[in-house]
Amino acid sequence: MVLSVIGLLVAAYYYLLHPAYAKAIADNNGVLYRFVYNKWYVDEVYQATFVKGARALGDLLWHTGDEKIIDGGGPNGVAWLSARAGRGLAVLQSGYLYHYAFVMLLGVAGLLTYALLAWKH
Amino acid sequence: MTGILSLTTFAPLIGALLILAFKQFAPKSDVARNARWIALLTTLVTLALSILVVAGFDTSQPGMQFTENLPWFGGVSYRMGVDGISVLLVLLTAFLMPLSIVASWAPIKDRVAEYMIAFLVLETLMIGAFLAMDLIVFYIFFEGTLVPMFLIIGIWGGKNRVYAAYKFFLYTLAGSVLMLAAILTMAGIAGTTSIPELMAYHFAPGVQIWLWLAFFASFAVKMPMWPVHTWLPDAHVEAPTAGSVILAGVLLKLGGYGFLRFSLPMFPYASAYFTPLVFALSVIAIIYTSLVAFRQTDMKKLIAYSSVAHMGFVTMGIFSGNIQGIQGALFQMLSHGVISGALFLCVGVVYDRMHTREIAFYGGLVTRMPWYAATFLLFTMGNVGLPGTSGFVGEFLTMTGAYGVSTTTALFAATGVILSAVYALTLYRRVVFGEMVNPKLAAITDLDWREVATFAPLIAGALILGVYPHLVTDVTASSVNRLIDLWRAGAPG
Repeated sequence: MVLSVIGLLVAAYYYLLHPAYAKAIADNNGVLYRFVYNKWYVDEVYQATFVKGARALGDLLWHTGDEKIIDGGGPNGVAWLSARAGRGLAVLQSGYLYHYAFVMLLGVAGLLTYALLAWKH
Repeated sequence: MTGILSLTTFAPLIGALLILAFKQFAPKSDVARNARWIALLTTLVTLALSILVVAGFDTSQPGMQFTENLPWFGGVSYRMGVDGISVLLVLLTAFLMPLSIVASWAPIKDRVAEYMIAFLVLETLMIGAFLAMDLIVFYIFFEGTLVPMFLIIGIWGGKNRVYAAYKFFLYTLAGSVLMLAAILTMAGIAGTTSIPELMAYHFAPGVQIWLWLAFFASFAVKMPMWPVHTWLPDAHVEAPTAGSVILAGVLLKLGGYGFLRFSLPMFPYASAYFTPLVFALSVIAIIYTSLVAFRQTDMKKLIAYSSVAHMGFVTMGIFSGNIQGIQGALFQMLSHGVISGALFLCVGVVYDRMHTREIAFYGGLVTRMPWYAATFLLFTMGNVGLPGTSGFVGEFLTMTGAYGVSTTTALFAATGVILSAVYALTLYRRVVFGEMVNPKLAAITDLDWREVATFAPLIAGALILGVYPHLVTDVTASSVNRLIDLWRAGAPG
């Protein structure tokens, strides 16, 4: 209350009684004048912190979060893995009967080993 | 009125068969026109039937009404029923369908008959999923919705449609397969697949945890919740306008409906146990996807991300487990169905004229399209949650509900409301206000009568629900109260 009355009196002194003083201060363009003239630079500070911050954070979450981590590790990663595994396994499908017979033999040997070890106990 | 639920469910399918018959036997030149008109009439008949269901619905009854029961095979029965939780979701589906058909009238020129058939089959499956009172029947309808939507995105979609269609299909299927395993387990343990009977059945806490997780996998993808939401932006961007409307308006709601129908009443112990997890994921969804939405350059993708954020409010409300939270979640689902549907239509209006959804392409539309600007503004405000629109009621109730359980969650969710204003107003300013610098926009025309007819019911819906929310909450109240009793009875502490 007291402050605003003081403000009122000061403003009246400069702008009503001595407008020339007010003009002189403006022409002088001092640091304090510029600070007040630009509304304490509140808009600029907000622009630099909140607006730029939200933009940067949004970009980070979108490109790194959604595209790289979630999509890259999730759906696209699984799709890539399936395609890779498919290409890898396709090589095994040679069409030669003796290849298949050999793999079957390996399987039988493996099963036999397991059975022998299991029956021992 | 026995049989009205089956009639409502299968009326669109009859329409689809009619289109097929006309396609076979009527002159080739009339196929597209016939398909459009049959689809519109069928969806209007379905809307009338669903209004009959709502009119005959007794709001004082918490249980299932208009029940139907036909033995099918091996203990599975074709059971149908409707309660306060599902009745308005059926109405929402039937309400959005004719609008989607009208919105597709001119933009869809290729394979019109097949397009309309896909939409009508989709409507049958969506309504069936809301009305099915048997787990197996529900699963069939629920999973079935993937097929027509896959075709709608994959055939009538944009440039990258095949990638988006596959992503949509495989993502949701992967989640749902776990749910199928859980359904079989439940049938084995409880010896029934009837949903009302299963609500009364008490599963052991250890079993509940696993069943809850399996259902969660399916509904969280459908909803979609963070971090399994990445199929949605792709699906929306590629889908035709009406596909986006139905996807955002109805298909996402199947996830929220699933939580209310299965997770809460059947696994109350597990639901209480996992509430902190759901709250955390909801809050992340609200803030994370709002920030991502803010940075989008594609209008549809922005609205898609905004949908994920809004669904965060729904999951938060559902797992608050109190009357405000659950009523708010249901309200938010209906409101979002109207508002996001309308926003996708708003994008469709300019896309049909300019064939691009790049935000940077537009600007200054208000000078050439005042009616469009007013309509778009109303729905932007609804999306932000301005009091007087339906968006406000849903967000306010879900936050009140969450506040009663976790102050921190409500606090973070409130931040999301500010962020939603940030991205929605940014979108509106860049598209509608400013100087019209792009010379291609100089001849753009305002809404035509068909577009006005599509928007009018949606405007009415958003405003009426915003001013008089009792229309919804009175219908849902007794079923929601019973749901809360079931949750309280089974939850620890």
